[in-house]
Amino acid sequence: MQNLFGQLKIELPSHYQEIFGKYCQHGNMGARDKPHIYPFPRNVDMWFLALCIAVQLEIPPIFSNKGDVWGAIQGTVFGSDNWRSDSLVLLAIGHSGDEKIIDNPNEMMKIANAYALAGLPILIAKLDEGQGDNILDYISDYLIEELIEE
Amino acid sequence: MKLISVEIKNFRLLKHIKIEFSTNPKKNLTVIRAANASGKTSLLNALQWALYGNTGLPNNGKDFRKSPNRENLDQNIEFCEIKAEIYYETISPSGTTQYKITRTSTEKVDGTNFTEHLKSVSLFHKSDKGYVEEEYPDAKINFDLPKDLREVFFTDGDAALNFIQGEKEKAGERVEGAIRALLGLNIYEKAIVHTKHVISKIEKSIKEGFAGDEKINQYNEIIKNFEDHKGPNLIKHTKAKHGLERSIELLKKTEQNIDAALKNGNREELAIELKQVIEEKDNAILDVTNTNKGISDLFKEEILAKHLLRKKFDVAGILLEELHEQGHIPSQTVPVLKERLITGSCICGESLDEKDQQSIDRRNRIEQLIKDSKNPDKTKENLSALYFTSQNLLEKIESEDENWPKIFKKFYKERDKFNSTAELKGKRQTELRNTIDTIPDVDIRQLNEERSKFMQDRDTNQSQEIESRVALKELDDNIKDYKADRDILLRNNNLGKQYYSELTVAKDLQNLFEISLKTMKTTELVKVSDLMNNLFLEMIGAGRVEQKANITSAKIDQNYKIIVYGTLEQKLDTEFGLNGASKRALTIAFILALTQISGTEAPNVIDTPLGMMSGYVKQSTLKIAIHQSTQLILFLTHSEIKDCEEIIEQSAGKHYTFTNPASFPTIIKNKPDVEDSGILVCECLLDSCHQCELSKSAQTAISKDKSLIDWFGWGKK
Repeated sequence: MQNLFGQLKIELPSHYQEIFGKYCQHGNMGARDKPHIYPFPRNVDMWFLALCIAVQLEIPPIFSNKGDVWGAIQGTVFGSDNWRSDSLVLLAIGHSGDEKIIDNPNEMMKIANAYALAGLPILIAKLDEGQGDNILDYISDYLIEELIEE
Repeated sequence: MKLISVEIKNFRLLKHIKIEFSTNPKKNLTVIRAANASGKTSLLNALQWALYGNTGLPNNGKDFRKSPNRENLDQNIEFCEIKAEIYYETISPSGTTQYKITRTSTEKVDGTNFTEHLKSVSLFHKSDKGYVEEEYPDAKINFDLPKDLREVFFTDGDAALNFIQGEKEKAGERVEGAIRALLGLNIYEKAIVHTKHVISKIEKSIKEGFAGDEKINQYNEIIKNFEDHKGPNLIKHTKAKHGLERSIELLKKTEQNIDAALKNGNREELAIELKQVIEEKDNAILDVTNTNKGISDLFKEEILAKHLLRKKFDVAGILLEELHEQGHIPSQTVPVLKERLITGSCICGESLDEKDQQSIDRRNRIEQLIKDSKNPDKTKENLSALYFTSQNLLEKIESEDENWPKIFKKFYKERDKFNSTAELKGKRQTELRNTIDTIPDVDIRQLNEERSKFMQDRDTNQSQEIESRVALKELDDNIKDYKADRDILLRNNNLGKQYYSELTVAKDLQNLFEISLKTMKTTELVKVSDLMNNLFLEMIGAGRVEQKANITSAKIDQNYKIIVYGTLEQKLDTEFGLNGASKRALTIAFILALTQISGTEAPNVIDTPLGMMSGYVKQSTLKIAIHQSTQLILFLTHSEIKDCEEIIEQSAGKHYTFTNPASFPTIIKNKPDVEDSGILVCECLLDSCHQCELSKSAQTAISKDKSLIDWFGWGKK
């Protein structure tokens, strides 16, 4: 399916900007060669994992997004990973139980971002715990042991 | 020869002492017990001076003051008479003879300065008529106890070490000197030179005596001609032989250097290996980074969403499936109606062309239907597309499928392997760097070139040596043949007969001396070496569990060097590879073995032989020395006696304790009755009298095996 979110921008509270800079390779010089310090290739990968965590742990999504925001991700990025765009739509349908939501990309993105906002504190806490270690391994172990295999 | 007694006056610390030595074969040990600075060395020097005069003193007596220091002399004295009187006995087939040596010297003393003015020596032998003076005292004494053997029979523990330590060549020379002197090798060599000289004289006489005899003359000319040729060949042979020895030695040394360098590792080869190891390590690190990137990229994988969004996907999946089952998706109304318009035929079979009004009406209705269906179909179109493209996301992950943990673990395992490789290579890199740092920068290529050169030299010298040796042998054979022919002619002549007999006797003698010398150099040397080895191993208790020296044997090689072997048959450095006790034991073993094999009967006078020894080694060394010596005179400190009291008590026929009055109150406990510091003598051995009783502090030092010098800090400035 075509990317329904190409025109949108994902906005997060601005304090997340620094945190994303701490753990994402994109935008950091030489970070691509240090995945053990910067585990996520792009902002979207960290954001997407956060929403996955919230869904898997059944944490209620957070729809209020007050205060200063930061344009963390351009919607065009979903054009390169169609499965991701599909996932967001399926998530929106799954969350709302209404297939017609497919006509409203804005609403779908709101739902996705609400889950991401719910999952981000957990993800960031785990990432901070892994500091000084190989964060990549630490977060992968967390995913496997506590989210996937549980 | 055995020493009976000695009386000494005014010799350094010995103002006036008289000592009797044990001559009892069953109790052949005489012990002089003395603390440091209590006259042991003075007595050792005095005995040697009495026997050999100033030449028996260190540095041949040059700058050696015999008289006591100023404070031990009467203030007004200008001339000091030093005197030593020794009684000794020798045993010959005709019986035992007793001798008395009296040696005197007068020194003019002025403060610390001294000059020797008068000296004399007399030797008397005891006869029925009393003591009869000998005409040549020094020669007779030298005969009874050769001066060349002074170092063997009179020694101190430290000086004896010179046989095995110090400059290697000098240690070898000392051993050679002692062996040559005691085995009489010099005498044999001198005798050979002398007989050669006699033979040459007889040959000359033959030549002169038979100058008129044409035939003999002719033989002599031929023999002379051959002998003239021998000279250049002899020079050539000697040169080649020395060259050969030198090149073999250099070759051996170079090969040892190459072996050592190769054992350490070839720097060049190691540098190449290091480069390769670094490259392999860097590659492994790169592999680790790439694997990490792979793991990181797993966050971009669809499978992660399939695992973690399953709960929502399932809800959406069910909904999409229902729409599909109900026929709402995929959306087909608009495309079907559009297709009908193109074909001009309705689903019901009626015409849709624009020829009649009915067809036009039908066509308009269909176009209106398409228009009305457009909006809801946009939703359905999207849902249809989603339905088809999300099939993979909606499918459940079976446990045996390639799931995220499985893919992660695969990467993890690979990275682990790369990490181990990187670590392994890193370790090897450190090892190689350390090894390279420790390897001296030896140019193996240059050493190999040197080896080739020395091999070439060796081969050249070897062929020259063989060539000249063969030539010499041919000349010798010719000389021998012609001499034999000439001697036949000589025997037919009366004068010739006489020359012939003289020549035969001289040649037989030369032959005899040469064989004896060879035997001495081989058989007797081996005997000394073997006995030294046996005594040494017994002394150090080789083979005992607690024996930590790891010594297996000791020998004297053909170059008169004393060599000690370790457990791996490797040569141990006699100076640095042995501990102090083993070194002393080895030198004492050498001295005893040499004395024994030479068959010489003489006293062994040793100053502080047991220093640095303790326990088993000390006791066994003492026992063996007592057993091997004809007469053993030991100067021992209190510490050396410790742990050996029983052995000494059983074997000491005579014993004395020397006390230095000046050592009150540090070493001796009681204030001496005398004013000066001349050594006092008592006959104590293990106990003490009022004169020799030690202070508490000195006793503590001895009980702790401490040297009194160290204990009282005398060695420190």
